[in-house]
Amino acid sequence: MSINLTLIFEILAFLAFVYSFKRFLWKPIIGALEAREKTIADGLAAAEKGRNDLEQAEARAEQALAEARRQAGEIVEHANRRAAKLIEEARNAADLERIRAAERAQAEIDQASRQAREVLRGRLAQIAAEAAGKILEREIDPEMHVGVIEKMATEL
Amino acid sequence: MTVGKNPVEYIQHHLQNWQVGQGLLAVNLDTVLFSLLCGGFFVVLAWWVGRRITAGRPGKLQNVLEATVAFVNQQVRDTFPARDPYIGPISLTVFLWVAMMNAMDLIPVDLIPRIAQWIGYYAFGLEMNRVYMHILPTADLDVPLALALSVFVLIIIYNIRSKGVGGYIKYFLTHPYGPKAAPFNLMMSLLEELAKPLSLALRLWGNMFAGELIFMLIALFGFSLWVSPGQVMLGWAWSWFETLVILLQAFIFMLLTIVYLAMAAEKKHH
Repeated sequence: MSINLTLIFEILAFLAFVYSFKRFLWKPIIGALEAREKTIADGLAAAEKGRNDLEQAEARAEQALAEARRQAGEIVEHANRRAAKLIEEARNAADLERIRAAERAQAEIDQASRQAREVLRGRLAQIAAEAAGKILEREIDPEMHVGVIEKMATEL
Repeated sequence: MTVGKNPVEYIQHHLQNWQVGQGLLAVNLDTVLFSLLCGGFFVVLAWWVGRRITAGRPGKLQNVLEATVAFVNQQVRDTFPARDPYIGPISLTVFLWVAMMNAMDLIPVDLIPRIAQWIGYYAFGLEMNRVYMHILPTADLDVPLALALSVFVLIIIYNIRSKGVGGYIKYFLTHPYGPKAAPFNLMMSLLEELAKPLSLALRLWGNMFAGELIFMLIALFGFSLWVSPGQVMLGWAWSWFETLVILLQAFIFMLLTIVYLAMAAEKKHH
């Protein structure tokens, strides 16, 4: 058991193996490990980002839904107000129309009654003249007595 | 065991390396061969998996390698103070290479030496007892010491990189008892720094050497048919225990490497 030249050979072998192991074993394996770690980290980050995006999208959707609901409420309220207003207007118009119709009818009635009275008056004058003629047994000259008759007719 | 050989010779034969050259310039060919095979195994495996490596859905083999690399990377991150492109590969190499070399301990002690003896005898006409094959590289002090000395040099490099040459020298003179005890500090710090590679190397070497020795003793135990079941049981139990030692020693070597380099990479020493 003694030291000899083998020592030098083994030192050289060690150096050669360190180089070879670094070149063929360490670098490729560490490279693969790091690449895999990076892939996994990227995947996790992407998943995290996806989850965040989903949350944001959900919040946005929630917001949009609330906004839509509010607008729908507004529109319905507006429509209700408008409908009430229309009904009110229609009612007012109908009232106005009714009053006008009544007035119109009254006016017609008044006119008809006036005409009837005119006709009546004319007939009465005639009847009175005829009656007076019969009473007096002679013709009353309407032209002579027109003044009298007219005067009487206006007194009726 | 080879029948008719005495136990001491058997063990000595097993511990003898297949060598060329003499003395300090000798090279243990079996250690070099099997250490290169053990490390090369992972390079080929990594190349094989690396051709269709994917970040998407990894295959089974890629999964195992990923788990191992991630485990080492975690140890580095827990201990090392800064980002450094080399500390990870260094730790991974130490862990996998040492673990694989240690695992040679689990191959039956007589199997490969016996095959080597046959090849030596029939192919090269060598005398069987003169063919040596010691396949556990980490039980050859050269390998743990080579690793430990490499780590030692790395410690110095990391120290100089983080503290500067002046800061590093200052650390030797002022640590641990302040500037007034400079000579004493220098001695203590030198001892401390030298103890790091020595303890690294000797811990690994001692564990693997002792573990292998137990396997040899168990192999020697098969002296009669009656005790063979006991020998198999012992070998089985010791293999399980050694499996723990193999992984534990590789892990300790790696962890201490990270810790030493982390201490060296810190700007201020505490």
